[in-house]
Amino acid sequence: MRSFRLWVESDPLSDRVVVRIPASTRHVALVRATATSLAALLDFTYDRLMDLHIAIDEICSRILATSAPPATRLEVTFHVEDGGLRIEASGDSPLGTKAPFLTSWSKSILDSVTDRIEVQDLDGVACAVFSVAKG
Amino acid sequence: MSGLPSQGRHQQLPKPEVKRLFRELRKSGDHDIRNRLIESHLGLVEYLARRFAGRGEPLDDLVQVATIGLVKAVDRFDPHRQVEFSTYATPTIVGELKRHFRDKGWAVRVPRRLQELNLRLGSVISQLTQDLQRSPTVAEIARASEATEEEVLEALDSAHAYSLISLDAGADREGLSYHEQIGYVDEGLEALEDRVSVGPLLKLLPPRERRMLHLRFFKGMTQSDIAEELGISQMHVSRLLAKTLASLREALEDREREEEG
Repeated sequence: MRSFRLWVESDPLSDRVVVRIPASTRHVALVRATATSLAALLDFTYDRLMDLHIAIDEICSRILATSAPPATRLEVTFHVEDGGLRIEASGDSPLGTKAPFLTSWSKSILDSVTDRIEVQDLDGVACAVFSVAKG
Repeated sequence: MSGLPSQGRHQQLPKPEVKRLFRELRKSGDHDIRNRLIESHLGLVEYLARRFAGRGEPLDDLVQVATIGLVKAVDRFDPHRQVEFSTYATPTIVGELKRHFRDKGWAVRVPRRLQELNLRLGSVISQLTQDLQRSPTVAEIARASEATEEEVLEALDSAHAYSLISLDAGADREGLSYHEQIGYVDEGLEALEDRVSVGPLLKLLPPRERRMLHLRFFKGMTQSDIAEELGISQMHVSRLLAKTLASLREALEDREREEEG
């Protein structure tokens, strides 16, 4: 078994699950799997579960595509909220100057599959915060 | 591999003839006989490759990979053994296909139980959506398919396991529906003004995939609505959407990289 340096922490006091993975598309599957389990616990409908997957894929790939120097790891925090999940995702490297964090294409996708999305600037590092309701 | 005959005109040889040709090949090493044997088994190659289709790899690639397995089997088969060549070749070809997926970093071995559940889920979800007049939850899907929630989640995951692999949007072709044949004007899609434009890429998509993107991301229809509109299952809609988005994403990022030099 190879070591992937994956890290999942679930915090029972704050309804929060943090997933930290090496910055590569391969490992985004773990973020998706975590999202799936949480969504099932919260009784998400199938449609919303699939929306959640699309949102996670899109955000993670934008983080990977736009950070310069390339991010080495990705951190995704799931907050369990009334009626759904709020998710924060960021890399560990600043946003590059060339490509926008969200293209208008990504924006159209994310506007459709999330209920709210905003990008926060944390000292140059882009952090996407988005919510997906369960039904 | 340049000596490989092209597909499509392969005709199957009677089994005794296959045996005879193999014995002759072992004696003479005749290139034409080798090619004839390969050619006459391309049907088997295609049949086996199809069993691995729908996992995110284009069928053409799979056929190519499977053909490599066939060539290996032809070169290794011992005609004096009491076994038919096709029986001998099948595990070699399947092995080659599995290795192809493994090399891509994905375990191809989805347990049969999950595969079967996965096949059933498509219709279960469609039925529930109709009965409930909304998209069902995982718990509801589990109850209706007489499986545990865990199993349902696993089966759903196995369906999507390949969606991140580089994808050829045309890999899973079905008959075009009426909707797709009447052509389509995608106002919303063309209004996008990315610096690296997605527009030209969208034009390359098959009409059904383009329509699906339009309905989901510009008309705001749910996946269930789209499934009904296009007359396919929700699971199929989510798979196609995931595949199409992944292929677009890859192409866009390539372009971004090119622009940055």
